[in-house]
Amino acid sequence: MSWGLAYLPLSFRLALRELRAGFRGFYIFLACLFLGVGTIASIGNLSGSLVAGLAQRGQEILGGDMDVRLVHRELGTAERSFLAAQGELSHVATMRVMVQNLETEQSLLVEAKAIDQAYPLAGTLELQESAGMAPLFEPRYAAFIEPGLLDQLGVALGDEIKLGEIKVKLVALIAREPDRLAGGFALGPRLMVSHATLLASGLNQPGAVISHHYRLKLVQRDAAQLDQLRTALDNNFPLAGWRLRDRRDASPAVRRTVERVGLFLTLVGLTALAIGGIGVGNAIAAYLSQKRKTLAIYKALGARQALVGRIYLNQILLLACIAIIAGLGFAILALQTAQPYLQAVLDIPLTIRPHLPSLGAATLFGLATAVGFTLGPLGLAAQLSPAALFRGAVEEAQPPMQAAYRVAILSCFLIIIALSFAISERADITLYFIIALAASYGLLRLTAWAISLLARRMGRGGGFGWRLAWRNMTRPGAVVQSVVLSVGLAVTLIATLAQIEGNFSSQLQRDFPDRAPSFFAIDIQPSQREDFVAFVTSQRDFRDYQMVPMLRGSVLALNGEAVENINPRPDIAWFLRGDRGLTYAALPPTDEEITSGTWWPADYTGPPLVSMDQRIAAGLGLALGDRIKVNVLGRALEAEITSFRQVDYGSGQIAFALIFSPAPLQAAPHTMLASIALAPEAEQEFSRMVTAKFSNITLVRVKDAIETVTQLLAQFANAIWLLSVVTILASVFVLAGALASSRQGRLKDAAILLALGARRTTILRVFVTEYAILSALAALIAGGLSTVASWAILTLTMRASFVLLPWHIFTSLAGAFLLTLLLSGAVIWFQLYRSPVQLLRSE
Amino acid sequence: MRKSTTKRDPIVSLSDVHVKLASRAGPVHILRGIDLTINAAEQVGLVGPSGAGKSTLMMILAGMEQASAGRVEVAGQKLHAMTADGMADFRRDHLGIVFQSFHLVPSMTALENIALPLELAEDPEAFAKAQSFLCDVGLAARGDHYPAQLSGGEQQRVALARALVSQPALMLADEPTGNLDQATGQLVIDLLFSLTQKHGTTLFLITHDEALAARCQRVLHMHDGLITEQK
Repeated sequence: MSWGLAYLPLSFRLALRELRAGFRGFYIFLACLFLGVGTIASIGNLSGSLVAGLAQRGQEILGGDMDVRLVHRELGTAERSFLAAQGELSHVATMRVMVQNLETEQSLLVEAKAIDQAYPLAGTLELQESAGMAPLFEPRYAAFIEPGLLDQLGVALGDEIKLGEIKVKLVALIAREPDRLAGGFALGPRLMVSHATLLASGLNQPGAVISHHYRLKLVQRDAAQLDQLRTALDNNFPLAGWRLRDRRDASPAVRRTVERVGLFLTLVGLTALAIGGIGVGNAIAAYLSQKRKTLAIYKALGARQALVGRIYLNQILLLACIAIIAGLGFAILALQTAQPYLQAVLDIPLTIRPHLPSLGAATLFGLATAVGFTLGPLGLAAQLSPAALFRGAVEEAQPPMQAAYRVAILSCFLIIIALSFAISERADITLYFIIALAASYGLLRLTAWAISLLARRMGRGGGFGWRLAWRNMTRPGAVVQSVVLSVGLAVTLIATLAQIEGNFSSQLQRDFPDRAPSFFAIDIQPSQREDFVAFVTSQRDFRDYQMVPMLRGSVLALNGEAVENINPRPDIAWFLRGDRGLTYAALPPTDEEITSGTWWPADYTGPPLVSMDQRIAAGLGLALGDRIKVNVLGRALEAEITSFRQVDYGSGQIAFALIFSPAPLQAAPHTMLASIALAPEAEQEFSRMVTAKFSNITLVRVKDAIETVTQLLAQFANAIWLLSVVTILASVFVLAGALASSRQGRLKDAAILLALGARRTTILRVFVTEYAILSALAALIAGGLSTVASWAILTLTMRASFVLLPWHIFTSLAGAFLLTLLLSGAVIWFQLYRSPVQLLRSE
Repeated sequence: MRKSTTKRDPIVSLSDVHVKLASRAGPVHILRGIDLTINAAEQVGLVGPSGAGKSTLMMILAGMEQASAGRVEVAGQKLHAMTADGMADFRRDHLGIVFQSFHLVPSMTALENIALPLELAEDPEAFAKAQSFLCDVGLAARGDHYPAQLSGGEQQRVALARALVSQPALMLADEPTGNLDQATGQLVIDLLFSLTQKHGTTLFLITHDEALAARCQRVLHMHDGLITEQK
């Protein structure tokens, strides 16, 4: 090596020579970096691959190159002609409807989809029990269904079921629907019919919530063509009120969900890396401590401070590269291995290819963490005089670190912060995370310092074990900071996750159903209003109902500014996206408070006025007197905001962000929306009777909807919990590193105590007491930090309510405390399982 | 690299040198006003009890410790006015050191240890020169051995070769036989004297052994941070 590598810089040659001795002293360093980089790269690779898969198969997911969506109405003649001239056109209509078992009269909410013979323009509809799509378009009414419908409705393939006013035969099972993802959130299984069948069912009534999708397959498919077509559609039909999507972003909702879940998981991964960083710093400090003599020799022979720094920095970078490459390799292999499972669980196309931006980000995170946490101990060691290094110099006052090292450390942390923002689409969440992490880190360091001060006092009194445990915390190379930081950060994260999840599940499963109605009924025709109310109120188990008019519309402009040009606050961006439910009312809602402005007179018939949710208005910077323009059924409606309301969407009652004055909207075709509260045991029978009597009215059972949301949240929570295991692992590595770094001193103490006649259990008690005190105090601080963090996340970023959950905090803290005790106890007991002679000889 | 000196030129000139070190227990006054002159190619022995300040004096001469007060001039360099990097360059260019505990880099072979000062000086002939010095100390066949594979005496001979390989103006030896048995120690000392004489290197030898010190042209006695006697 000496001769062969002469072309390398001296610092690199010397670094390689030192590494010939092996990686001893670097295992914790390697493990911490591998874990952090592997986690972040895995998450980034997965979400990147998912987003890439969505983009790559955009045409198939969208069902064409462009999707023109209309709510309530179909295309006009001119619109249809224009679109048909652009390429191949296919019409798909979707709506939520009820179907019924003809024998048992059991009813079920399904996601109905009417298709034409051109469907699908891209991809293939895969069917079981049918050779092709022909049976759907035969004169007899037929349907393809998802297998789940058979069990839920208690029917078999070949049976007939009731759809609106007709009977439909179930002719085939849908194995794979190419454009399923574009459909969004599903409350029931798919039922696919022809347009003729849907028309015959009588469900497609004026005002019914039905979405018409017109898919275009273009002849020329380049991006410029898509942009030109968008512009042409906007220019030629400015008031069409349609929502355009093209294959480049076929499923924005799914993409956003993937990116958002990816962001949360990455933040958990970053916490693991931050904890790992402490392990990295400790490992390097311990390594350099072992290398004091070599450092001194270099200096004594005339090596400059910068060269000495470079020799060790090169070693650390080399090892960091090994850990990072291993982490990246793990991420790629893990994704490849888990691909079939992920494909099945996520039901999203996965493109199995390393996602370079994510891997690049993980690499930079790893390097910045390795260097950032390493330069501190390295800077201090490199600047010590050789004499001090030879002496051991633990007692000498250390000179302040050189400015260059300080700047480099700061740069590394700035890179980490900049990267965190770069990979996040929610800057606010990232900012809160960084503030929370920095505050937790600072507070825990302060705690460690306070414990060291306290230890000086406590080490003077009490019994032998108690006194020695405290005095161990003030010895040179004490583990106070390592233990407090690693245990504290891990417990803060876990207790925060536990509290957030606990708050969600308690709100969904405990509070909400008590106040929530049993059903929401949609698509009630105005002509059915009286009959339906009479039917509902005559039920033996009837408790309450509420009924309001319901239309759908999209926001076009605020004070004349088109929504495309408005950059809303991230948490209310949904309001300007897609269609919103709208209503009108003569009187204000009884359960909502008007916080400012005034409601219109009950008999008001003047220009349109609107009452708005105050939180959304505040997020958009709107004031009383401002104007909001919406598109309803292809007509633009501009209204003046005359009042703000406090709207509680979590109340379980019907809630609208926008309530208009009646005059302009009541003349438009629309349906009614009702909420109905019944005794729980009457729900099944009520559903059956409504479907039999009012076949066009769709009932959404609230319990089922909550169950669906709960399952989705549970999947998300499971992913986060799985990752928090990584954080615990990082914490265990740091603890193990701290134990290892203090091993020599402890062994010597133990040997002397054993030689003087102390029992092993006594010594074990001393050491375990020390760890118990440290982890208990760290966990206590973490309990407070996690409560503040979960409160901030729930109330500030999620706009949800927060309830203190002492049991969740206690279990997290107790778990971490016991884990620390078990780990430290086991390691110390193992070390003590030797005779004093062996221990002293090992010294 | 090496500054030319004549036998009459002082290579070491110390004037009222004090060293105080800070510690948690309070400042410790180790050197209390040292005045010393050593001429080029001179062999000087320093004896004194433990804690007298001998090693600290050597650290001051090596530029590994800054004097708290006084003037330190070695090989024409004013060490008291130098930065840490300036002192590192000074050691690289003018100094060889042999320690009681050998202080070889454990991860480097004997040859690499000897070549290290020349590598630091970016000497392209580093390994060829190192090989020659390895022969001088009688270890030509042990160049590929690591310190842990060498005996104490062999390690100290490697350290001796490393100290002399860059042909320094001043050689500092701190108890070079302290960790060796008598016979091995004698062998190392003979080598030390013959090689420093051969290369015309000034020798400053710290030892507890009055007989060993007596082999030097001049012997200094140190007690409680002061040079109390010169012979």
